[in-house]
Amino acid sequence: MKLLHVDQDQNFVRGFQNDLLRSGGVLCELESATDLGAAREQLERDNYDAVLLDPWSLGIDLATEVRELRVVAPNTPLVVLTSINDDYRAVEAVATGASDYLIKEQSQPEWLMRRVRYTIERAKRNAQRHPISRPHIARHCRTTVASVFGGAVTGIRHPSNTDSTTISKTGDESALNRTPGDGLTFRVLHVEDDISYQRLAGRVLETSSVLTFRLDHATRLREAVRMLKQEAFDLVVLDLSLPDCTGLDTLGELLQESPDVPVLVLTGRDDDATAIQGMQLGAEDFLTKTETNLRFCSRAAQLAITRRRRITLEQLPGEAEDQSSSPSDQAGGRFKSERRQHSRYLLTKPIFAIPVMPDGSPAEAYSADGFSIDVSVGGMQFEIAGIERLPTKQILVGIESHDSVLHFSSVEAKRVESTELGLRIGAAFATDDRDLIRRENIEPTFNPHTCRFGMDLPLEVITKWVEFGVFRATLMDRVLICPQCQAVPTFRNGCRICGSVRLHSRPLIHHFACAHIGYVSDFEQDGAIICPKCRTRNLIVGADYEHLSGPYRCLDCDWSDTDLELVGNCLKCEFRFPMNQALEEDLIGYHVHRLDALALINGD
Amino acid sequence: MFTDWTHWLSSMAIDQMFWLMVPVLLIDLPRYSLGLTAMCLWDMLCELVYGSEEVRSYEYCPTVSLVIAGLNEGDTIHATLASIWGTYPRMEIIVVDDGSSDKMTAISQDFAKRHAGVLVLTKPHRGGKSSALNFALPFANGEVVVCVDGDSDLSEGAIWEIVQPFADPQVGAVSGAVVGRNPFVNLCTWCQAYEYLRCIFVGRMFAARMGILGVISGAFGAYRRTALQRVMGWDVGPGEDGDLTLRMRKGGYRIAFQPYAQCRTNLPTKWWTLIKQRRRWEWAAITFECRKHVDMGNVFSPNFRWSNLGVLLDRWIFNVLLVYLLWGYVVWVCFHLHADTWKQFLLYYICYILSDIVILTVVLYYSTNRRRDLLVGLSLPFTPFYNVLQKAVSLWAITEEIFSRRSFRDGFVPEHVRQATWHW
Repeated sequence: MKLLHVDQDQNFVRGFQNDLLRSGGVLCELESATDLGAAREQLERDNYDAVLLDPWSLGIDLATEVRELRVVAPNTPLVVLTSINDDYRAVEAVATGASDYLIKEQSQPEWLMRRVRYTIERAKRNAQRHPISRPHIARHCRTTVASVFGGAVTGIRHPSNTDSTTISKTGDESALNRTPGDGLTFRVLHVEDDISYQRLAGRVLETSSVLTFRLDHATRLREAVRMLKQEAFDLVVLDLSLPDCTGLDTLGELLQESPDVPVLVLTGRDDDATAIQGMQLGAEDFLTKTETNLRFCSRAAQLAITRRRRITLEQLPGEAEDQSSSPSDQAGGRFKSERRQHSRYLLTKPIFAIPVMPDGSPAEAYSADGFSIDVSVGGMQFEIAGIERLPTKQILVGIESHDSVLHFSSVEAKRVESTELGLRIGAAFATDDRDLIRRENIEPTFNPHTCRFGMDLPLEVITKWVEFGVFRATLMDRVLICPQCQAVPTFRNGCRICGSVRLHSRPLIHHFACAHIGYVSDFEQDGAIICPKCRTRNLIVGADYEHLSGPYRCLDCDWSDTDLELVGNCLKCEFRFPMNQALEEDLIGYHVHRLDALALINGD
Repeated sequence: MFTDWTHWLSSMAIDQMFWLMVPVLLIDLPRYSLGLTAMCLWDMLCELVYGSEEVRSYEYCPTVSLVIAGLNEGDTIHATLASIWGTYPRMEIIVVDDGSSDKMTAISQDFAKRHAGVLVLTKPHRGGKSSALNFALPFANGEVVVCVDGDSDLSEGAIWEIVQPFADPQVGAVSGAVVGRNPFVNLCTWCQAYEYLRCIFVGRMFAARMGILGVISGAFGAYRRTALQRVMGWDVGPGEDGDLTLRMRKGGYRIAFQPYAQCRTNLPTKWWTLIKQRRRWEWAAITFECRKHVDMGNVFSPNFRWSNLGVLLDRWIFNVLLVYLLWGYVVWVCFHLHADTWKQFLLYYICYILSDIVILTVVLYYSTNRRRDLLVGLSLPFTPFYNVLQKAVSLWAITEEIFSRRSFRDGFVPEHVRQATWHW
């Protein structure tokens, strides 16, 4: 996950991030912004899976600013994460466009992040079912508490606000086919087979301050389905373990019968995967039967109803128009978002960062406790404490793998942010020429200009890396070089006297019968092979004679021999010499354990 | 016993004694003892008249291509090359590896890298010694081609000695003397060493003076390159060295012998190895002198030379006819044994010993290392028995060669060459 945290309180932001890093349960990349302008720029520049926003710390008008943020990133859910624990503000936030309303001090960061993840899943699901475009949001995203709940605001008043804002049912009640109640009463069907918990939850729901619930109960799925067919409900609070159906099948069957009703799953199964699947299936929210969630249950129910009504309101006016918008853009953005979400991993291994100076030599090394890797974009992020600036953008990072060996990779810092502790560095894996540990830098390769083996990195720089313990010298190969200029020669069979390859050879024939050995030209007479010694005609190769290699004669120095010698011919200075006079040169390369990001993620 | 023998001998009349001594003629005793004695006396007389040549001087210095052809000579090739390299100023050395399976080529090339003028040729497949020698000819640039075995080493100044006869343009080939390198290993090598002194050192000296030298040892011989090219090199063996000599004789070239161009070669240390070697040598007498080059005896041939006929007669008589007569006589004696048979053979033995003493005296007269040659000559009590063995081997070899052409089934040359060549 990649999140943008917009909050004036940076202490909280850093603490929240550190808590997340320490917990290690959720792999996410958190970026922060201190004002809405910066947040807008970041949203314009990059894709985020969700935005965490504290409007009251920023001192902004929630309705206006949330709308603007949604115009910039229409498919990115906005989660209000604030310290103000107020049901009305929560309903107001969700009615104006937020996806969820979380309290900073309410619970552990893992719980908060789980809520954020549910929000993201819900947003993705809604984006698939009701694709919306940026212009659409710009035109129609004007929802308020009043518009969401019908326009006539009477009755309920915000406790902290002197201006009473009352939401009352209006004429559209009949359209929603709700049973009239006193004030703003919403019908909730609680499907729960545990009667004691049914009562407990009922009491919690009845304490809701903004929306008033009227509860109906069912203990079996079949009963619930029947009731939903007969009457309209604003919300279903569903337990997944019922006598006649268990698990996500319960939710599936219920949604199959009543697809439009928001369902708040309240189950005893504390299973993250099931929750995610449930959100994907269509649940509006997912709560486990813990004490924390029970207290949160009332607000979750209010927010679920508010959210569903707001979405319905947003979809109704411009649905046709939305469908006419470019589907490729939407699909591309969605897939990209999904891809980024699934390709980012948070690892808590220590990481060593060694800045690489412009000449290739190492600077002072730094370390960090953890990092995240995004395999889809080929990058990583880590935070180095205690420094204010990086000497260079090129960094060699070393990570200890499962075999207790440091594996290194060359990265290039793309984004460097100052934090209270030090620097947060977003870096991309370096490739080609920017990769310090590329083959040409650390292994001897043949240079066609100098005709010698060498490495791109100067030896003194390599020596520094060896002293640093990053490179390890290894004998790669051994080559024969010119004794005169130490360049690489070619070796070929040639005259052992002058080294020339201009040689002439005359093949011989050995006639078995008379043991005569002579030149082939002497045997060839009148188109036949005739032995010049014994005059035997029509000789057959193999049976009567065999071919032998004749003597070589050098056309340059008139030397003659049966065997040639390997003669070196220097590619640089063209010096010719017998192979046994060549000098031997060891090709020393340098070994580095390369970092394999995928193996690291997989724990290999 | 000795008294009986002396009484038996003294009781014989002259005519009886003559007929009793006829079988002595069946062995080649007179061939060497009489001839060598005459040659030695002549040289002594000349020395008395003209004085001895105190310091040997070499005036002729042709370019030499020394060819060492061998198969699996990796153990000895380095020592051979080391003994030869640098002993002659205008010499190139050509080593031919006839498809060895050992490190002969590698060792030779290693030597060639450190010594100038050494060329190593390697045949991909074994083709026999003749083809290996012929393989060197296209690469040889010297006026004289000297052939040395890979397991031999040369005495001091051997190359100088062997090339001197080529100052005479009529000389086509020169034979060097081959002596044993290991004479005192056992009785087998001891007897062989004395045989080499008797038959090669002084025997060929006499044959060369008579103009009937019919073989140049393959272990150490020199050839005029133009003569070699004219006869187109060696033919398929075994016995290719004698064959080439005869073909050169037929070509009109004179064959010379240089006794002081000596080559020391390893003698077989086992009797069976010796027998196999001598069989191969004896086959050549039938294959070449009795079959392939029998035309040398044709008095009506335009190239007829009496010396060539002498070569043939020498081989026919001493290597074939006398062998059969000797063993025919032995058979006859076996059927006519009497009480004095042993006295008769004792007489032959003593005659042989006396003859060998004369030959040894001649050897020592010409020898440059008299102490060593005297020690070698002390084996002469055994040489009659050794020669009987040699005659038995000769009988076996020439008989099987006459009736079955055994030489063309021998592994001296590879199978594909044996199949392709002419079976004389």
